[in-house]
Amino acid sequence: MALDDLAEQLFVRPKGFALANYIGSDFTPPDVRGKVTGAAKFAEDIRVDGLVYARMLTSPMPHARVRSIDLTEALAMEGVVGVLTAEDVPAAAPPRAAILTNEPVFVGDPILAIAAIDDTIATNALQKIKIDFEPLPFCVDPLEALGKEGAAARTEGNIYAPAGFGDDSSGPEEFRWTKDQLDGFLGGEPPEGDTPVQWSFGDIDEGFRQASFVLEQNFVTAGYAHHSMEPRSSMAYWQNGRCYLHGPSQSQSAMLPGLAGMIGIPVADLVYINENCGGGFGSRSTPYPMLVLPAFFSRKINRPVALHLSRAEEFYLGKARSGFQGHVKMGFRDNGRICAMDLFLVQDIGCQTGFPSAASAAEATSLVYQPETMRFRAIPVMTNTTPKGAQRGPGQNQIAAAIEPLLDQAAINLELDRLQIRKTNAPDNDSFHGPSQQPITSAYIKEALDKGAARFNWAEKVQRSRQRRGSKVTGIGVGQAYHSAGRRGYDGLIRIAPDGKIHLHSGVGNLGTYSYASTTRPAADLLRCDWENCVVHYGKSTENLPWSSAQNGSNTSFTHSRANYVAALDVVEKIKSIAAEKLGGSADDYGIADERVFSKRQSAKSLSYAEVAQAAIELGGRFDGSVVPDEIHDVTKLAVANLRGTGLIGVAKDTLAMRGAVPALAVGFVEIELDLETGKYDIIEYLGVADCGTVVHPKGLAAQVRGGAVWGFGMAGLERHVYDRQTGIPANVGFYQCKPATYMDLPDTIGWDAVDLPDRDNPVGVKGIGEPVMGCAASAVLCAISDALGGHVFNRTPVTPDMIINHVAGRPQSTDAMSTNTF
Amino acid sequence: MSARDLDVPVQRRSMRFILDGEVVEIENVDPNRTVLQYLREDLRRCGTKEGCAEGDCGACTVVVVDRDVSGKRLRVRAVNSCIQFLPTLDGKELLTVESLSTDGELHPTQKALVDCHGSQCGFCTPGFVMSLFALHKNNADPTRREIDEALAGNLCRCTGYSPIVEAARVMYADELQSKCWLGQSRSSTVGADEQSRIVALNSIDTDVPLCIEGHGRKFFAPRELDHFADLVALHPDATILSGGTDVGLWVTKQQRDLPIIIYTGNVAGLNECLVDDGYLDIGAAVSLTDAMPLIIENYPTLEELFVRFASPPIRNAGTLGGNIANGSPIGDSMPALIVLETEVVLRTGGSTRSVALNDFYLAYQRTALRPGEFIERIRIPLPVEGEQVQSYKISKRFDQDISAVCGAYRLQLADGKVEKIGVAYGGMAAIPSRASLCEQSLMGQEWSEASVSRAMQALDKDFSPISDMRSSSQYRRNVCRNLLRRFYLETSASVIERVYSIGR
Ligand SMILES: Cc1cc2nc3c(=O)[nH]c(=O)nc-3n(C[C@H](O)[C@H](O)[C@H](O)COP(=O)(O)OP(=O)(O)OC[C@H]3O[C@@H](n4cnc5c(N)ncnc54)[C@H](O)[C@@H]3O)c2cc1C
Ligand code: FES
Ligand code: FES
Repeated sequence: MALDDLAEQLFVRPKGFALANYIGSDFTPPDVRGKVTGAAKFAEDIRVDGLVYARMLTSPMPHARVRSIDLTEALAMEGVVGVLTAEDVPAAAPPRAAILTNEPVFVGDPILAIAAIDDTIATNALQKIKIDFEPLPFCVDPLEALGKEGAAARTEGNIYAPAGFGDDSSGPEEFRWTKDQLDGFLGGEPPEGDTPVQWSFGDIDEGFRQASFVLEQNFVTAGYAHHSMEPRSSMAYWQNGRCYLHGPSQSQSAMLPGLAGMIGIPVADLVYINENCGGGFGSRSTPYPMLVLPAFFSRKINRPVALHLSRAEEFYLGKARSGFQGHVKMGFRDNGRICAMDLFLVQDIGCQTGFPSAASAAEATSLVYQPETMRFRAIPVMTNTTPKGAQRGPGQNQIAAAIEPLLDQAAINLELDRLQIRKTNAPDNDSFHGPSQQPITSAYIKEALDKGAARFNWAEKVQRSRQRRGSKVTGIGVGQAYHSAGRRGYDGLIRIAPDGKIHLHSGVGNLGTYSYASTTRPAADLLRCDWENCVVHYGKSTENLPWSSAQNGSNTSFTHSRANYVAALDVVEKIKSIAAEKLGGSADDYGIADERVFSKRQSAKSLSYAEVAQAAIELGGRFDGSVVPDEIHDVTKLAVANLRGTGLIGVAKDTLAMRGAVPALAVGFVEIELDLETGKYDIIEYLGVADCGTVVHPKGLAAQVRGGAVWGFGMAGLERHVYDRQTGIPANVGFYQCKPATYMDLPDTIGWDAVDLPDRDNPVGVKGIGEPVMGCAASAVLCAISDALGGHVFNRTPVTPDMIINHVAGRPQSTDAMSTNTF
Repeated sequence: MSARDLDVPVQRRSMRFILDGEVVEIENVDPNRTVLQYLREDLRRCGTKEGCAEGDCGACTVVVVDRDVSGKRLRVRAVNSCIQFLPTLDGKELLTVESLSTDGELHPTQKALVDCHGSQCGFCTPGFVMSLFALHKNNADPTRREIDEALAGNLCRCTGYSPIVEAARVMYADELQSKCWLGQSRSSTVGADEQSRIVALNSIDTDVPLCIEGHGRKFFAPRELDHFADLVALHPDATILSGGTDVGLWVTKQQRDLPIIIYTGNVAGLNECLVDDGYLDIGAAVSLTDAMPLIIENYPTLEELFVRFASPPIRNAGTLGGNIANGSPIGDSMPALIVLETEVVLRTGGSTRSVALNDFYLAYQRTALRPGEFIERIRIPLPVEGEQVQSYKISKRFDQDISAVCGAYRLQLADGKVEKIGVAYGGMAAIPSRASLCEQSLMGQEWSEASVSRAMQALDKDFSPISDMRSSSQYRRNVCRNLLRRFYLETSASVIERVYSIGR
């Protein structure tokens, strides 16, 4: 039966086609044992004979040109084996990230690396290098860089606004606002200057004319580092012309073309091993320079080379969330419906290409609030600060934090309930989003708000809002957030071996969500096989893994449950065809159960999966992987080529229908107690509710909702970049300075729940969720702070005790309204 | 080696410790090498992770087992291996994440983390395993508070912590596993596991001082106070090492070379804690974990201050002596100790002198310590009937954070009037110091809203704080005043909630 027909079937879900066994149940991922015993190997744990250790010399200045380097003393040290400089690696067209550079554009930009027989010698050798820099102009505040007098972060220009994501042809440009335009905006006026990025839908002027209440506000959200727990490490060596590369990334197969391209070899010559990744959160989803540095170094000195970043280097090179300096104007009807939305963002993209977070923010705004008309304008400005990239809800979460408290302000003004104003504007299955108003696959945020409100006792809790207890005052908040959460077009690969084992090949990464395993469970389900009899392959290109999406953007659950599903459909179809071939009749005459294929009419007529696999090898052709569908990716073809003739091979590309963006939505409810004398607050209770479609792995989901909440608390009140304007040096680098929330900062329990309504375009109903669960927590806390302070909105993340105390004391804030640095 | 070093008849040149039941003996150890470097690089035992190399994240947590000062009871402590120098392990037992499972069987701690889904990316997990293991061995039936405290100091970016807390409960479900090593929890009887470990530790301890030379550096670990005093006098430029929670970072973060280290940890005379002659008398090398109960027993209101001091693994290594000697303007113990009129006993060679802690700090990071002198003891006066004491730490995070402001107060009233008052702050000036004008304005006054308001004004004259990463000067001024007011409200009739409520 053609795949499309089966797909048809699956969407109508015929009777007896229940997917229940492995969907919605917990399981123990195969690799977790190694994590608790210390046996799990991260890249920095791999040791091979002859290994040498590299350390990098990084820039002490935010922008400079290297005048001269004297390595004599360093190279003469006993144990030092070599050096890698910018001349040894490909040059990068600005503003793309260079592996090594002679024109560093941020403090911490790598200039060269030294390798030695041990780490201490390599570290000591760095001290012996004599290097001379010519300092160049720099800037750390985007608005300053936008003005006529501001220094450009790159010699080539001050902004970078590519035509689209992934556009490789464009470079930095000069783009300036006049002094008047800038001063006006700095002084709190609406932005008047031009913007290189814009889109709109509907007649926004008419929208504002129809509004009975208009709210207008400038805001600043801080950028900050990801600080995954593992400082990244990588190790490489060459054998018979092939490069063996160990390193952490969120993704697996999706890395291969990019990595091979960076190293300059065909994909077939790269062995990429990434069994464990100590956290990613967006910072390790695509190939990055430090990952391939050892490959170049190893090729140069002909020895295995390991590079282990320090915590400080992870801060410098591990990317960061973009900060926004923005303006929003919203028009509301009497009933709270948003009839006009005007969003303007200056995005700090750091000194490299950055990530289009402003565009993501706008898309999220259009989806979560469903404005009747909308205009979006943005300026992606470069600064000489650490490179910016995607970080958990890049753009979507900042904008949730900026806009949600304003919804509360509108609710107060329009005398509406805070939940109701959200529900009035919420999307549903018939909603559209973005500049061209595209459809979506499903949205159950109203249901999430209702479920959460009931569980949190919203109605009763809001009665307590603003109640005083000594110097403390209670604040109650609700927040919402969104991220798109699914893609299509990737491959699934399954093999049944002649011993009857079912091999599920998963090309997604292993960053701790265990989705490399959970997304294969729908396939096991469909194959009617015992999970214990399945072997999941992942984490090494030698495991013959299919082409997969980058494991980012909350997409994996949706995307790869589909890809594995279509591969399983292919397996089922082949099993039945083989049965027909061997036992007579047509494929339709057969059914499967308990790892057997049997005749629907004569159940005694049956074959075990082991027998089917053996028969597949005998039949060859499409059954054993000798012939593969044209449409599958080259990476999958390579994998299948290695497996051909070893069993029944099911392989397919996901071409199932998908009507538009896949919204992952989440809402958070929080109660805080804020101390008016210290500006500190305690989070008393938190509940997060997800609209992630069908719940496939409850414990995995719980960890996302709770882990995301902790990130959200950090965004709301703790984490931020601070740069010295005189020197360009970052002031907070380590954990204790960056202040991700510790366990003791959390409420006693962090509650979680899910709507658990199936998405319409996923065979098992699942959507991703990793990102919005953070934004809803951040915005809920910010709304609760506003609530506690009688509706005052700070228009900032994070809101710090300093700001709260100044507000309570009726004093001006300690920093300027649009300043990126705060106390 | 000078003649004086050799005055002590025998010195050991190699260090010994127990790992996985085996005695490990190593010579020529580099005294600046950390336990973590030794594990990961020398032994290639890579289960223990490096997340920060500055005591900040807990990924490197290991458990160190030794005997307490009586020699009769075990101490089982989670510590940060990234800032512990290797020779400090001498005479102890080291347990790492690899030590726990036997014959492929997971330890209940590990099993609980698996069952509760307490490990995601897994990078923090070895650290949590070891912190939970320390809890399992120290406490047969922990309260939620005790679980919270045991987990603090370990960062996890993935799980949201909840499943790990659950694991801390679930790990006690396995009845077959011997849990607490210390007899019954909090009991005075020595347990069987405890006894066998003490015997093993006794067998590697010969009471002989350690003197290691390696990589051109020296590490002295004397046993006798006199010997320690002689060594410090002889090597006035040496680094005195106690818990290493400040000193360790000089090496791992600042890449400083410490050519001579003299370690307080094995000096019996510096490791005692007693009540003597109206004082709590705390040896300079007593860990914060060991000193805390005695201080809190006498000054219960200081509990929160100590619970929020760094993290349990840091407190297990770090000492009160080190905190005082380090002399940071934002050290947390000092304001409280100053208002309590603590004295530090300083010693050079054979002679000692006693200095009021308030006079100990001369200028930014400069103390009254002379070359060759060290802190021998810290003497905190016992509480006086009727006096009220409090200290508030204000930082952005609950734990693992540096104070923006730390205030301490001590009040004795007579007929509603202030008979005695102590007000001291950290974070408000270059050194921790008393607020003299504020104190003066209160002396002899009614303890009332009006007098406290005047005293709050006086604080403005006492201090001109700076703005830095932690807070603006404006915030410091404001909160410093508000904390005094809070102390007033807490000590007067009106009941008020605390900033943080420990016990959650
Ligand atoms: C992650 C982390 C968190 C921290 N959090 C806090 C906190 O919340 N509050 C806080 O106040 N501190 C904190 N600290 C700092 C540190 O833990 C404390 O200062 C601790 O008390 C130092 O004690 P130690 O025994 O480890 O000192 P060491 O590091 O051994 O020594 C510190 C200094 O004192 C000297 N010294 C030690 N003993 C003596 C002696 N007997 N006589 C003379 N000089 C001596 C040393 O030579 C050195 O100069 C933190 C540190 C880290 C790494
Ligand atoms: S590595 Fe972070 S505490 Fe030791
Ligand atoms: S599991 Fe990833 S940091 Fe804890």
